[in-house]
Amino acid sequence: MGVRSTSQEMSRETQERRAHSSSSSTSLVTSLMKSWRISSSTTSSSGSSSKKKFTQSHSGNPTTTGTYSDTHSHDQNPLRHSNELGMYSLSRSSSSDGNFDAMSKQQNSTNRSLSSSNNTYSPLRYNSPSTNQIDSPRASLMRQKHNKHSHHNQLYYQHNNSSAISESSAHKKSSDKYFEDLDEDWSAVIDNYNMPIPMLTNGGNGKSVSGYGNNGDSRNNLSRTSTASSMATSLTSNTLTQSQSLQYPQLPNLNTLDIPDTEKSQEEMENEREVQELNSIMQRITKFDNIIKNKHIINLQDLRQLSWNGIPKPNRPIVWKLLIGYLPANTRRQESLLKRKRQEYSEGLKHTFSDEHSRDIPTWHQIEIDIPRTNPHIPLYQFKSVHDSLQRILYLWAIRHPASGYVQGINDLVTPFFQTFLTEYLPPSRIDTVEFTDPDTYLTEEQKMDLEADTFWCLTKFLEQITDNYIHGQPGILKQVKNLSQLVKRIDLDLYKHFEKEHVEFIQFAFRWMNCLLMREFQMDTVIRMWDTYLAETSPETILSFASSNQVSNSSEGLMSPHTPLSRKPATFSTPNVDHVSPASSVGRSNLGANAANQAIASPVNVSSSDDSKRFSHTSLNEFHVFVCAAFLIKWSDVLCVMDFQGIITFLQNPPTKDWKETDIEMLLSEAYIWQSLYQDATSHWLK
Amino acid sequence: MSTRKKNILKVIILGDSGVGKTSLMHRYVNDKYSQQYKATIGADFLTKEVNIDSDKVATMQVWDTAGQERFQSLGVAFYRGADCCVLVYDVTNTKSFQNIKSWRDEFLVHANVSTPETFPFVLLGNKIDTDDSKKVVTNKAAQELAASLGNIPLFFTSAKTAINVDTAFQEIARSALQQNQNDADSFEDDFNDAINIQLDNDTNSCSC
Repeated sequence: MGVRSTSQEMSRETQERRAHSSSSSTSLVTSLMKSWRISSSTTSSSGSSSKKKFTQSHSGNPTTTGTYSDTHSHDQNPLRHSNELGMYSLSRSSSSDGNFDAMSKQQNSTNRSLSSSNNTYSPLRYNSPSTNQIDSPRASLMRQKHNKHSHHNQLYYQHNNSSAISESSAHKKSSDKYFEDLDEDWSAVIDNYNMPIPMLTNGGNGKSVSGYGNNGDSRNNLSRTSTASSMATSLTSNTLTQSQSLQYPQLPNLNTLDIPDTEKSQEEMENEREVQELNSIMQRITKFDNIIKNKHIINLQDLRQLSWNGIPKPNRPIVWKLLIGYLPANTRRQESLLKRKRQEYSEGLKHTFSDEHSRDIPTWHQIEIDIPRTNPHIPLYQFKSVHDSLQRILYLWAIRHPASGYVQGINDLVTPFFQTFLTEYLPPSRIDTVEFTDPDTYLTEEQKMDLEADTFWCLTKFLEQITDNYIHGQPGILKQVKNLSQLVKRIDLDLYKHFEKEHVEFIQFAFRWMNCLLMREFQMDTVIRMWDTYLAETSPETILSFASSNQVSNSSEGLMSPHTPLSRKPATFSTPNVDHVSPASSVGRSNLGANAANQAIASPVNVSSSDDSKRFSHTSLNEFHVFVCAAFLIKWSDVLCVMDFQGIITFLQNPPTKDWKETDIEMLLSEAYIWQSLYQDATSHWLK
Repeated sequence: MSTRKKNILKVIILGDSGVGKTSLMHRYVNDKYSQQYKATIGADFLTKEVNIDSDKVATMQVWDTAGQERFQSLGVAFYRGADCCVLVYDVTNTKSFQNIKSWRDEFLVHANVSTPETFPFVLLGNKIDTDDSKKVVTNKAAQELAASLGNIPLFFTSAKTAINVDTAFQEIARSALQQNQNDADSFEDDFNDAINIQLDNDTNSCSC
């Protein structure tokens, strides 16, 4: 815990610096991210030179480099501070922001290992050591969030006044919440073999950095690895210099990491890599177990934060059910709830397939012809039993939601749930065979019904978050496509103009991205990883805080609209279903007396609940998805900008993502997160 | 003369879900057939270089649209600027046949074509490789429909066995090119507007 909070202190500092670097334009962010991407992609095949090039790509941008190294002087300049008061959005969209977002992630992990070994604090920082030591992670998290808005209170620096911290929180939202997650996540991805296992955190950096270069480039694992490592080391030494100036204790040995990977034999590296991967997986499983096992009330907020960075396979089914709000956080109620929901599903089926119910032929037919076309390349979806299950689930969902009904694409959205929940019934060693095994060979009839019920309810909850994507006219999707174009216009004006010149309309390629949440663009395993993050972005709390929020009226309509179809349901369904949202949130409320249920958990800062509900009112799954799409599109910007209409559409119909690994998806999500944190304020004005 | 479009022929394929629009397009463009196409969402896009009447070259851009009625409101984005519209039904599915007229009307409403009465449509009855016992739409009914829609060309095709696909798309390309020229001409010379491009197409109907 101490480790975590100190690392957060450090990342907070990084973000403070970031917040103080204004003055540059949006396009600079783009060019920076682009150049980073380009340079790393050119180097991914030659690991040894990558470090140099990586450095170049940064120093190639004077503003960036300057800001980065000069931050301390900026920080200490009160005049500059006051100039920046109230210039929140401006400074957030500066180029060095983008840089620091990324850099801070690098630094987070490095800093964490630095600080974890020694609790010495720099007088340059705004901390008061005593505060730090008694910090709960939550408290530190809260304060870290404030730093995004730190220009509101330069008191931070000058007086080490921790009370200023809580005051400032009223002015900001907590989109920073993921930074420490990224940090943690990357601790699970290890490339730096020289590190002893407890130091795994350092290794994660490099790989993530190299992720920029992996897209559209050859994926030679080895070269990537060494690229990553040397990048990591370059950053590490960079950071080390920084931290020395901050009077951090110098860690021994870090510099010796510079060379070794290239000297190691391939075999050695692979072995060590495997060991480290296993270790980090075990670590992550433990982290999840700590949250979800042997607890009376599961802290969903912690779970969301952890899940954002990926959920280990064995934990995934239960965590997804918790995140989506199907399983209540109160573990004592889980069993009875599961029983009730499963019963409801089977009664729903019984009713639907009884003689009393006249079948909706067009819907039935549409589903029937879509199911064989669902994931046609995955053997699992060719089995008759799976066809039958999906048909039941989708048909029941469709007739229970007349306002939207079945829309093509929902057949795609059901499959990650189905496949993930299937793994619950497989022994851990066979989880990876789920795509090839007929469920009938290991499921009893009763288990199959349970599986269907779980899938049905989770699909229901999931679609509730994005209902206006599928109601008549699909306004949610049209809005998202429009938002995407506006976002790209701001992030990558060159690309936007090129599209205009070539008469490429966003709807021509992005409709599917929205309708199927990019599922058509990626392989199933990467989609499932992506959904870890997406489900962490959804929440019943979102709806609650939307209701109490006076902002974003458009979006709240969208989110509230699920209640329309719900209320039209037959009583047998509607009552329990509405009930069903409440357990988790009412638990939160009754136990904690805060309206933003889980957000308030363990939060010592009173203002936090309004603060956090504000954050939630800013984000929804749909909104985050737009940022993911933007990140995805901009990834190909350089290629697209030299293509004509035909080339662009053809490329975007079939983007080269076949070889994408989880790390690529994680990079994409991180980039989306960066864009979101940069543009969210702006978007609240035009993303309507 | 038609510098406006540079001999790019934009073709839209419409029809109910599951009638084989995607399969037809892939058969024509790639000469391949697969059972593994996913349901089209929005629209898919493929292109092919075509020779028309052995002396004209053009690039055909085919938009293969989603069949579910729900997506119809989306059509505008894809219909605009079309040079030819292909209407597809499934010979084993009456409903898909009955819906042809509404697909055509839908197209005309959204495509904003300059001369709706002469805009080229081509009607395809797909899946003729299936057992006769399963065929529920008679050739006669199809011919009557084609006639009632303004004597539009009609082909019975099979994407699976490649029957008539090339022939049909040759006709589609020809119609599209003509429409394309007409449109271009009409900008410079209204005189050409009066040409009824359907006249020489009549003989091509029903190659079965």
